[in-house]
Amino acid sequence: MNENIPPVIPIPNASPAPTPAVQTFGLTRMYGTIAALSGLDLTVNQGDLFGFIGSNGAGKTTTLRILATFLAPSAGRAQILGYDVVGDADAVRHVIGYMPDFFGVYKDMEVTEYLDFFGACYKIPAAQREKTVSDVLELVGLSEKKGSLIGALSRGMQQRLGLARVLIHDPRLLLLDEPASGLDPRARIEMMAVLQELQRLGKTIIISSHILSELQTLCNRVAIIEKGRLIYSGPVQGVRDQMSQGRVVWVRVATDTARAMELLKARPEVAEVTPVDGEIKVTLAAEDTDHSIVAEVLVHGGARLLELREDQIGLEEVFMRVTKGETQ
Amino acid sequence: MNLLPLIERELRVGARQTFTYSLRVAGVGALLAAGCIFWLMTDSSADFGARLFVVLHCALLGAIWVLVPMLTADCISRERREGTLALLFLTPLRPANIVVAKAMAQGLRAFTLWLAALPALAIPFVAGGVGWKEAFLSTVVSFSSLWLAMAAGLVASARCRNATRSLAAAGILSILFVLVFPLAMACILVATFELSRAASSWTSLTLQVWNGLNGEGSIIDLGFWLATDWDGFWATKLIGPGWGRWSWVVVGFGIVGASSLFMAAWLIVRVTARTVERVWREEPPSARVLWLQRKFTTPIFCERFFRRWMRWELQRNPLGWLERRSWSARLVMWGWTAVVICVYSSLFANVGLYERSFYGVQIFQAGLLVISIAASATGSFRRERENGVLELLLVAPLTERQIIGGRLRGLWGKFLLPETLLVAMWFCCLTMLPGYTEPTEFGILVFFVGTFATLPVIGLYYSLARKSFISAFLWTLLAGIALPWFMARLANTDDLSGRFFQVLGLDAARTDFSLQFFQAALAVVFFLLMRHHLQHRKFAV
Repeated sequence: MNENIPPVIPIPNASPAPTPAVQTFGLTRMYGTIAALSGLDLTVNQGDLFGFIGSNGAGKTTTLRILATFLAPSAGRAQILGYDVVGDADAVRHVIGYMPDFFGVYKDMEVTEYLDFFGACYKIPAAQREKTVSDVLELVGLSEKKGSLIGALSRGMQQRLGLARVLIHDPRLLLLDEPASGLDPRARIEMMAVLQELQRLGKTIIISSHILSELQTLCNRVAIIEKGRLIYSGPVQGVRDQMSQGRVVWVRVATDTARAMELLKARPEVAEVTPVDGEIKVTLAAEDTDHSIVAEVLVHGGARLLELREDQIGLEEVFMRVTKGETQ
Repeated sequence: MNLLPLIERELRVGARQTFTYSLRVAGVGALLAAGCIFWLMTDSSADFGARLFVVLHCALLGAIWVLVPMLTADCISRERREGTLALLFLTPLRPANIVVAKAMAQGLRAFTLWLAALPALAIPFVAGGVGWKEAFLSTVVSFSSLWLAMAAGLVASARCRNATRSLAAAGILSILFVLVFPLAMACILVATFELSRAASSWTSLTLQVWNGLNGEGSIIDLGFWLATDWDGFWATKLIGPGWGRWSWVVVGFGIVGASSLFMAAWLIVRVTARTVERVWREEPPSARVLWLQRKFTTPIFCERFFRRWMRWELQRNPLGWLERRSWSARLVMWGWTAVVICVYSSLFANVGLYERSFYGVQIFQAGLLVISIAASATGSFRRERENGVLELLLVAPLTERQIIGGRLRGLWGKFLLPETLLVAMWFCCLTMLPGYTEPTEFGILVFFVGTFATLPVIGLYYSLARKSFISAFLWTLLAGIALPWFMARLANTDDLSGRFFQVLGLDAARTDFSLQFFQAALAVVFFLLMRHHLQHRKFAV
C-alpha cells in the first residue's frame, strides 16, 4: 500500500516458529519515581487476537503507547515484527495502527475528509486514497455516513471511525486501547465482529478491554498485568485450567435427590457432592476425568436426569483471583 | 440567591491556575516597564513625579483594558465546552445568579490585579508633585474601566463557545468600549460643568477644559485627555484651589463611575444572563444558520479549482492543509486582504487623510495583523492537543520536524497575501511617494517583516507549551516582540553593545539589524525547543 514501508525482516521457511508480532524484554517505564511498567516480558504471535487485561492504572495504556512509539521506555526494549520501537520507530509506525482510548477526531470535519487527512499523513498517494477510504468505511460499516460531519455521529460511530482511521494504511498489527468502552451492546457486538473479520484477514490485534466476558470469546490469548508486572500470558483456556480448583459439574434430577447424591458419593472419581438450591454440585477428583461419568452413574442407578452442565471458570473470575486490585 | 458555592468554586479554580498569578505579574510588569522606560527616556525635573504618575496611570488603564477582558473571556465559554454549564442549570440557580457569581469571582481576580499594581502606583506620590485628588480621579477612572472591561469579557464569553473566538470577541468589544468610554465620560463631565456654571457664576469650567485642547480635537479627544490625564490635564485644568470647583469635578467623576457601574451591571445581569439562558442547552445550529454558513462560506465560483487546489495542498502538506481548511481560516486570510486593500484605497483617495494619518494607520494596521498572527499561531496546535489528534500525528510516519514545518508553512501561507500586500504598499509609499522622509520608518517596516516571519514559530511553541490560550498568547507577544526589542535596545546601548556584538563577531549588524537579528535568533531557539519537546512528548495536556 505504501512505497515508504521498509521491507519486513523475512521469516525463514525452515524455521518452525514465525517472528513474533510483538516481543518485549524487561520493558520498564517510570513516571518520576512511579514505575508504570516494571520489567514486562511479553510475546504476541502473528495472527493472534490478544487480550490485554488489567485494572485501571495497571500499565496497559503505557505498554500500548510504548509499542505505538508514542512513549520511549525508561529501560528494556520492545520489538514489533522485528523492528525496535525506539531505533526503528519510523518503520514501526508503518506497520502498526494505534487506536487510543479517546476518539481523536475533528468534530467539524466530514468523515471522508478526516480519513483523507490521515491517509495523506501516511503518504498514501492521492489517486489511491479515495478507494482506500471507501474500502475501510465499508469494512467498519460507515459507508452511508461518508459525507456526515463527525460531530453529528454517535459515540459508537465515532469509535468505528477511529477503527477506520487505524486501518487506512493497512497495518499488520493493531493496538486497540479500550475500543469498546462506552458502546451500547449492539455497537459492542458489531465492533467485536469487525475485529474477528480483521483477524481472519491476517491482522494481529492487541486489544485492551475491561469487558472480560467478550475478550474470553474473542481472544485466543490473553495477558494479565498488575502494577506494571505481567501475571499471566498465554491461551485463554490455559489460564482457566490453571485457576480452576477441580472441575465442577451441576446436576438436576427429577426425584430423590438424596439417592442421587449417594450414588455419586460412592464413586472414586467424585471428590465432593453438595446440594445447592435443588441442584447437586459435583466436584470431580481429577482434572482429566470425563464428566460423562456422572451421567452414567445416575442413569444406571435409576435416577431421572433432567440437566447436567459443566461449570467453567470465566475470565472475570480468573482476573479477580489472580489480581489484588492494586494500581500504581 | 445562593451564590456562595459558585463563587467559592470559581475562586478555588482560579487559585490553582498559574495564570491568575502570572496575570498580576504581567500587570505590575507592564507598569514597571512603562515607568522604567519613562525614567530612561526623560530627565529628572521638578515635575518628574507628576509626569511619571501620568505614565503609570495610562499603563494601568492599558493593562486593565487588555488583561481584564482576557481574564474573563473564557470563564463561561469554558464551562460550555466542558459541559458543566448545563449541570449548573440542573440546580436551582438561575442564569442571572450564575452570571453574577461569575462576575463577582472574576471581579475579585481583576481587583487583585489593581491591588498588585498599587505599590507601583505609589512611586509618583513618593517622588512628589501628585496629591490625593489625582489619586481619587485615577481610582474612579481605573475602576470604571475595570467594570466595563470585565463586562466586555463576560458578554463575549457567553456568546462564544470557542476560546479563540471568545477572546477575539472580547477584544473587539473592549476596543469598542475604549472608544465609547471617553466619549461618554466627556459628555457627562461637560454636562456637569455646564450645570456648575449655571449654579454658580464663578467659573466656566467647560471652557477651560476645551481651552486645554487649544481649540483642536473632537469630543473624543477631550474624553481621552480626561480619562488619561494626558500632559497633566487634571492638575492644570480640573484641580484648582478651593472646594467650589473641585466639588463639581468630584460630582462629575462620581457620575462617570456610577454610570460605568450601572452599564456594566446591565450588561452582566441582563445581556449576559439572557445569552446564557438562550445558549446553555447547546442546541444544534438552526436551519437558517446552516443555510447562511453554506451560502457565505463555500466558494460559488471556480469550485472545482478550489477543490483541486485543496487536494493538492493536502497531498503536499497535510499539516498545513489542516490550518487552512476551515472557512474561518479562509475568512481570516481574505478578510485581512480586504482590510489592507480598503485601508490603502481610503488613504490614496483622501489626500488629507494620507498626509495626516498615513504613518499612524500603517502602524495600527500592521500591529493588528501581528496580533492576529499571534492569535492564530497560539491557537494552532491547541486543538490537536485538546482532541488528542497530536498523539495520533506523533505515531504517524511524520517526523517532529515535518509536523512543525508543515504547520508553520500553513500559518505563513495563511497570512502571506495580506502581509505581502501591506509590506509592498508600505515600501512603495516610502520609496515613491512624497512626504515621508522619516529614516526610522524603514526600520519599522523591516521590524514588521521580521515579526511576520518569526512570530508564528514562537506562537506555535507556546501553543504546545501552555494549556491556557490567553497565557500562550501573552507569552508569544512577550517573547516575539517585547523580548527582541528589549535585547536590541540593550545591545545598542553604547556601553553594552560593543562588547556584545564583538563577542559574537557581528559588530556590523549592530547599527542596522540588531532587532531582526534577535528576532531570528529567538525564532531558531524556539523552533529547536519545540522540536525537542515534541520528541520527548513534553506538551501541556
